[in-house]
Amino acid sequence: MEYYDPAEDTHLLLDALNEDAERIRSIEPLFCVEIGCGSGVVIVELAKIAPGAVRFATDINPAALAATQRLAADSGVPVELVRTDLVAALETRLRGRVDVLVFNPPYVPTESSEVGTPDISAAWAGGFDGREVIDRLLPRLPALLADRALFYMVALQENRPKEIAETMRRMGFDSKVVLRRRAGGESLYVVRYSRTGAGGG
Amino acid sequence: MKILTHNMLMCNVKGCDKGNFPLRIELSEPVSIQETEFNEDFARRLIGKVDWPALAETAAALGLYDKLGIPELPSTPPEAATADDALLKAMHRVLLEVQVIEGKLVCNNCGKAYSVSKGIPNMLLTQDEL
Repeated sequence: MEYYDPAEDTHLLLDALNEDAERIRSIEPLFCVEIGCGSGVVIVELAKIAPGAVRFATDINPAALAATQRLAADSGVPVELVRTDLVAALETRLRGRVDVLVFNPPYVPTESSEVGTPDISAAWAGGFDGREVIDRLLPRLPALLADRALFYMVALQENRPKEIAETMRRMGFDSKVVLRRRAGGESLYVVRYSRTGAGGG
Repeated sequence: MKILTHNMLMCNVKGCDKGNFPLRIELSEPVSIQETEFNEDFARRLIGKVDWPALAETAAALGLYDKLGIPELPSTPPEAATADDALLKAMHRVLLEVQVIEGKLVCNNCGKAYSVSKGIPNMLLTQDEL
């Protein structure tokens, strides 16, 4: 059984969350959610940044959930694990309640047929423009996120982050690049999205 | 899986949108109870996020009042500002100290059974349930 080991994108996301630690703490998050938790390092780091919160981590890969469960236990950090597509099983009850949402999506441009398989390739295969999974999540965000929510997502230049920002703007969210880094020929971004007027910009 | 998480999970089979919450817990192994630190502010903040009828129903169904030696939880939400310590602690214990390790979550509407294994619920659907 395999899961996505921490790589450059993971480290960029960890750095971005730490860069934003004060902002995250300032909204006093109660519910934090990570979609696609992989090894678990990100949700465990988020637990250190915002200790007084409930943490949910989802993945479709059972090996990733088991790895996150082990890491959380070893770190003494409670994390609640759910095997589900994105946030499907949680999203009705968590409607308007997710304070911090983190997603390092499968963003690598691939054939559509490679997306969402139950194995390790689901961790990177993003289909057309690497956007197929990202684009399934975006329309769900206005209902899911709390008023002062912060949403952090990794994206690649090939995902056309400006177009993602425009989609988010039309749904009432501002976008801000927290960190950008070149790694192995890829240009990686971590972008923070927050509701326009909520003071997150 | 904590009872708090159970309180946030709903059957997500396509078209199953009435009576699909709470999912009925069928244990194949007794629940595990782990003491966790009580934080009054945190407990007060959780009051408004919890579905109280589901919480009370689940606590009764699992026999948690006897098991934990706590007073019964109300099936309507208490006032967050005035809830007393005994109620907050009872809520804390049910939501955060009880873990479902092995069993099933069954939808009372469509009958879909989601397995819980090693404490992790599997809420994935098959192709014809999407």
